[in-house]
Amino acid sequence: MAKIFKHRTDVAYFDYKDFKTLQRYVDQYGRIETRKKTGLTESQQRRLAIAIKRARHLALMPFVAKA
Amino acid sequence: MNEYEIAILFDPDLEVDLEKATSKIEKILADNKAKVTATDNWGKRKLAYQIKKHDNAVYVIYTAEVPGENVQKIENILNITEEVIRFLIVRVDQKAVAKAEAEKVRKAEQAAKRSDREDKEEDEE
Repeated sequence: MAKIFKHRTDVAYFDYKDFKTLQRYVDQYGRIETRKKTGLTESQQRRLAIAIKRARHLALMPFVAKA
Repeated sequence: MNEYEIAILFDPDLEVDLEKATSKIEKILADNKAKVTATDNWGKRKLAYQIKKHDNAVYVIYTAEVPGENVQKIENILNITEEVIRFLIVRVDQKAVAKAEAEKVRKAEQAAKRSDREDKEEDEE
């Protein structure tokens, strides 16, 4: 499986308000990509998931997107 | 006292008289001994999905120092405030913010070094 990001990300922390960045880590249906694809470390992926879920709560990102 | 981020989505019909709604929220915060340090008004935005039959909402994000025991009280009041269609209160992750800042500084330094080196190379030529 091809990684979206070949290099280690330099995003120090994921902000739920910065949905433009978060958008890169979900697929066309709005699902969070796996670590295999994102290439993040375990703790980064965990924080990413929390940020995306917060963004979803505020309707900045969709729970389910139509393709 | 901890630093919290309070994101509030207002009913879009109130946009014309947002002052009234925000002052109501600020009063709620003040009543609970919250000290607002920053306010960020995003204005009206389209929602990713409908909330209470609304397609749009006015986003306002407060940063405030709130005594921990009052957060629950603020949440309870916001839940029954009609002007608010959705809200989120989270602790500001000071460690992460500091880390991000440090990273930014480090990058700027690196960029400065790089441009220095380039300048030197140009001089040699």
